[in-house]
Amino acid sequence: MDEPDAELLEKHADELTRFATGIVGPSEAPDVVSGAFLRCMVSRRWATVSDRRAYLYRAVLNEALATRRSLTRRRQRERSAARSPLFTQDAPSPEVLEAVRRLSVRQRAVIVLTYWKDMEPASVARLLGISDGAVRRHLARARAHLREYLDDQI
Amino acid sequence: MTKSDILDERIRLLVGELVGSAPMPPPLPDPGAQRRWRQRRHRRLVARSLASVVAAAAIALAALLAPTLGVTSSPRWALAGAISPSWSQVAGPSPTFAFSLTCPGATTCYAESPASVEVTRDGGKAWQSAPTQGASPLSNVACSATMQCAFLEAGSNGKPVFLTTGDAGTTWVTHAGPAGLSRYYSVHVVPVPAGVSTGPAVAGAVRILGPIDLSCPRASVCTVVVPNGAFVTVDGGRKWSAAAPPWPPSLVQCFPDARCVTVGPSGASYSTDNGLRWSPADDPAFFLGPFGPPGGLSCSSPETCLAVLSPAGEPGATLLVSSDGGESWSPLKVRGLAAGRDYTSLSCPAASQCWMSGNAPVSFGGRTVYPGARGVVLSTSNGGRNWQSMVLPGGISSIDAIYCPSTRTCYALASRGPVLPSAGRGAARPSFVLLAYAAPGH
Repeated sequence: MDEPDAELLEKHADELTRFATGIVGPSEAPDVVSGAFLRCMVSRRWATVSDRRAYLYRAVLNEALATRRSLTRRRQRERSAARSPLFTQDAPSPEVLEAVRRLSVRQRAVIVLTYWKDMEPASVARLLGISDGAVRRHLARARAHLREYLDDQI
Repeated sequence: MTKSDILDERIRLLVGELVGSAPMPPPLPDPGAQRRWRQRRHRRLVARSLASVVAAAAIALAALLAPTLGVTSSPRWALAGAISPSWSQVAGPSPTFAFSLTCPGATTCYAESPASVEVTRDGGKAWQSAPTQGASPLSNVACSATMQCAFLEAGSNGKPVFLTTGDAGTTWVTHAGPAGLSRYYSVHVVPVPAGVSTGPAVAGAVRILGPIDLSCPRASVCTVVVPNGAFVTVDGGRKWSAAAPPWPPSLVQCFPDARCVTVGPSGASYSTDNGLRWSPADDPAFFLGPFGPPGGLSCSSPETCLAVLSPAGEPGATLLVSSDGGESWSPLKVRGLAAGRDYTSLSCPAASQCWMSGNAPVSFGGRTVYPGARGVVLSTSNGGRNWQSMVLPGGISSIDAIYCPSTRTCYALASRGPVLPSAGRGAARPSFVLLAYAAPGH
């Protein structure tokens, strides 16, 4: 890894881990970010990418999509095994996880960037490399799902 | 405040809680290490389960055709003995493969897997487990003499432990390992099929985030390299100092004169003070990359080193040679190294004499299955320019490591048999065996 790459990854590691946490949860986030970093570094396109931060965000999203496919099966297996108390972390409440579980990976990405980073739909679209319309669609559907869930909680 | 505003606020709180639970960012990955680690493990399992039958047939056919094709059938490698039965009896996913072999004496070898360290003092006939206290080994065993060896394991509390022996593995003394090492591995729970009894090594399996290599040129001096870092002890493990090689190191070899040499996927470094300070090697050879983690590094003397690197994410090999103690490297033009092989280990007991282990691809149903099912051992007697395949006993599915304590004796860590689902919801495990080679007349 050359030094500019290392600096870039160090610089964005925290925000990308938080972004990944918003999509796949805290236990899978480090793996997703690591996987995304690796994909970027071995990618032939990486050297020619102009907006590397956006590229990293998209890589995290793609890695999350790939991870999600095997996540359900893995969770079922891991649920049967107890975790060591030495390695627990501050997990989000079950209500939060249940609310997010209803959203697709892309809806989660859009929601996280909109509400955590306070980004406008156009900025989210640029960062994730999707259309403005797609962002608005994901946002509207995610809000509808969350409204339904949150209303049920009252 | 409108209903929409209230919803936005509630979503903001929800997202805040979720994002706020983010763990620490992962350590920066070595571009090849994690990928190769996962790929190698995954592909070996796939290859073993799919291609074992084909491999056995291919080996038998090769043995039959060898005289016709003019392949030298002597000297042969021989089966020295099955490594501790416990390896094939441990439930759960570990160990499905072994990761290194260290043979400091003519009949003394240590074999390491993610679940245990085994030692033999009689050339592989009898094996004894090192007291890993239920924790997983993190590194290879490194020896400064036949009787004096050390290795690292993951402590049960997440802190690394450094074990040393002065009597060839009969007794082990425990010290604290380098604290910073914890960053490079994580403990996670491995799911175990219902009805299968588990040992502590399985319940606390370790996921290593990159290669961890250890070299001990003297009983009290050891150097550990990890992705983007190194740790050095000069007092037998009582105190550790952190160091930062200029290139991410994967493998290290140190000498009693305090010289250390490392190679990694993107460059090589050297040190003249046991690894406390490092200098980048003059290594235009690395511009041939990108490489994955090196398959092997072996220095027959503090001056002469050979390294084998694979292209990033692909099988194959590039050999690099240094004749100035790792200060400069150049690619070696070689003959006899077939493309598409995954080279796992290299051992050079002399400058001209080296052995290398690897795994060759196997065709299955018209498709090439990743190397891992058909182990190969190659030897060179001219410093790596020409390599010749050696004849192995039948039934070997992969060769994980090789170590030659002298130019006349060599050992290889091999596995036999596939990993196949069994009716008992567990899995049939490959058995690990030690292969021994003795030069003619020895």
